[in-house]
Amino acid sequence: MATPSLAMIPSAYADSKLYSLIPNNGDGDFTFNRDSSATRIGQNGLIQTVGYFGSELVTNGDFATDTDWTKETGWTISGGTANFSGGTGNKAIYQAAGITNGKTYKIQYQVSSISAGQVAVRLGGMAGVDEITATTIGNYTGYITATGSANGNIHIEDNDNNFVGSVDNLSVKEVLGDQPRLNYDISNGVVQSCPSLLLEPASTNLVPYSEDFSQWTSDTNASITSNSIISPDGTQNADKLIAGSSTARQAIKFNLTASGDISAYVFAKKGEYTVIQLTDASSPSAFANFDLENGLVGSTDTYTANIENYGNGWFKCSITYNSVGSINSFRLSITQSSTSARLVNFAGNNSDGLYIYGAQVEALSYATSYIPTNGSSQTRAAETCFGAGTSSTFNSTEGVLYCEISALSDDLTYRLISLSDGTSNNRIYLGFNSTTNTIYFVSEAGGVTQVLITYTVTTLTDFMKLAVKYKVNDYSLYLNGQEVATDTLGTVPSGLNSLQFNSGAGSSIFYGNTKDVRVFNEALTDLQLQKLTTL
Amino acid sequence: MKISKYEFSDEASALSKIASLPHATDEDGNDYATHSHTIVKLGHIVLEQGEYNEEGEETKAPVLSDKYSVDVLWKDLEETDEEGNVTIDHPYGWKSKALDLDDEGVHGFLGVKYQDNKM
Repeated sequence: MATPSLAMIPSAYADSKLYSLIPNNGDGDFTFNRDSSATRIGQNGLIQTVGYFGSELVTNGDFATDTDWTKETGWTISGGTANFSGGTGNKAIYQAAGITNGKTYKIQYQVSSISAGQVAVRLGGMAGVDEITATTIGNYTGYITATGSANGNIHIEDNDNNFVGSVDNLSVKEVLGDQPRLNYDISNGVVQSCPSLLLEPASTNLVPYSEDFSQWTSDTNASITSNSIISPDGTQNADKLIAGSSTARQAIKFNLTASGDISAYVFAKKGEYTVIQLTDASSPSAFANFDLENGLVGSTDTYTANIENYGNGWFKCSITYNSVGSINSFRLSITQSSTSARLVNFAGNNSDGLYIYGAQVEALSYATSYIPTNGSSQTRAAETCFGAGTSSTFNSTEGVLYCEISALSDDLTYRLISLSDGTSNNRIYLGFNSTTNTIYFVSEAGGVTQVLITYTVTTLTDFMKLAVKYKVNDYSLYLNGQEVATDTLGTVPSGLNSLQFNSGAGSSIFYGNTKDVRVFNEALTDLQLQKLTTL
Repeated sequence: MKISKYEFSDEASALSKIASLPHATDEDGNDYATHSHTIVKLGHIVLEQGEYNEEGEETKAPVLSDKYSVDVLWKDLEETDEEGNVTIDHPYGWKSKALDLDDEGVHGFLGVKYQDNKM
C-alpha cells in the first residue's frame, strides 16, 4: 500500500489543533474551533468535560475554614475571608494549586473590603511578571500563563506594603480552550479501543437542572434523594428517584415550553425498580418504557425510543418525536412493568426506587452529546475543523480521498469532507446529502461539475469506509470493500491545498464521527482500494 | 470572545438583525453563516410558569415576556486602529437592544460565563 500524503487518525490534539500523523511537520494539522465546553466519552467510559475551563484548582477558596493555606506574617483567615491589616515585605497567603508551566489559568477573586493599599493575586514564582491587582471592593478576573519561574502555587499578596482589607472566593481554573473531542463509543456497555473525532452542531439543553433532580416537581408522590450513587461521569452525583407510599403517580416533572422536533434522554440505572418511563404533555398518549434490567425498550406510543448500555448498570434512555403542541411537562416516572401503560398510579414504600442522571431535552431531530446544566439552559457551540495541508501536500493530477465516518443522524443535510483550493471552484468532496441515507461525491474543476455520484445505503449512522479515486476520465467510489460507482468522463480540479471538514468553501460542515481520513497522491489500484475500504 | 444578551420588540426584528450578519448561499442554494458567532434564539422567555393539570394540559397559561430574547456568543469582533488600539463593540444596530444583567440569566454557553465575558 502506498504511503498517504496526509493521514489523520484521531489521537492527539491541543488547544485549537487536531494533529495529523502524516505529515508530522505541522502542515497536516487541522485548525479546530468550538467556543464553549462540551462533553465526550473518555477512554475510561466516563462522561468528561472538554474545554473551555478545567476543574477548580483552589481548595478552600471561600476561606470557610482556617485550613489549606500557608499564611505569612500579618495574614489571617476569619469570618469567611482572608484578611491583612498592613505590613512590610509584601507578605502573602498561598497554597499549592498544581500550576503547570506553559498553561494558562483563569483567576477570579473578590475584594470584600479594602481601606488602604493594593492587593494582588499571582502565580507563585512570578512576582512582578503578571498579576491581577485591586485597590477597590469588587470582583476581579484575569488570565495568567505560567512561565518557567512558576512554582505551582497561587498567591494572594499585599502588593504595596500598605494593603488593609479582605479577600474572598478565589478561583483558579486551567483554560483548556476549544479542544477537539476524541470520543470513545460504548457498545453494549464496553468502551471501544479507538476513539473517533466527534463534530457536532450547536445545541441547547432546555432542561435547566440536568443533574439536580431535587429542583424538579414531584408528580405526585415520588421524591428524590440527591447524590446517591456514582453517575456516568464517575462522581457520586446520581440521584435516586423514590416511589412514595400513596397510590399515585411516582414521577417527577419539569415544565418546558418547546415544540416541533424534540429529542430527549436521561441516564438511568435500576434500583429496586427496574423500569423508567418518559412522557410529556404534548400528546395524551405519548410515552416510552425502558427496561433497565435487560436493556430493552418496552411499551411505547408516539415516541421513537432507544436504549443504550453505558456500562456499570447505566442505560441512556432516549426518545425522539415531532411535537405539535408544547411539551409542557417533561416527566420521568417509575413504573412497575415494561408493558405498563402511561402514567399508572401505584404505591411504593418511600424507600425503593431507581437512579437517574443527566436529563437532556433538545429541539433537534436527534440527540447530541450531553450538555450539563445547573440553573439555566446551556448551549454547546458548533464545531469546525479545517485547513490541513498545503499545495505541496496534495497532488491535483490524481489521488485518493479516503475516510472512515458515520453520521450523527439521517437528518437530510449536507455534511461534507473536502479536498479543495479553498474555494468552491476546484474541489473534491465526499459525505452525505439531503436525500435520505445517501452518500454524495462531487468533483468540480474551474467551477464546473465534472463528476456527481450519489449512492444509497441502509443507514448512515454505522461507521463506513469510503474512498474516492480521482484521475482524468477515471473516477470511482468505493464503499466497505466494494466499488459502487464509476465515472469515466471528467477532468480533475487544480490547486488542491486544503483538507477540510466542510464543502471547501466553509458551508456544509461535516457533523459526524470520524475514525480516519487519508489522502493519497496516486490513484490506487482496485485491489488496494478494496483492501483500504474493507471493514 | 464576548457574550451579550438582547431583547427585541418582536421575532421579526430579531431575525432581521440576525440576517444582517455575514452569510452566503452555498452551491445547493442553502443559506449559511460565514461568521463564527453562536446565536441562540430564546424567544419570549417565561416570566411566570404556567399551571398544568394531571394530563399536562394547561390550566393557567405561563406569563411570557413581550420581548423576543436572543443570546449571542460573539467571536472576532475586535478591531484595531492605525495606532494599534483594540476596540470591541456590538455589530451595527445591536447595541440598543443589549441588556446588562447582574446574573447569568436564563441561558448560558457551556463553560463560558456571561459575567466574565459580557460586552
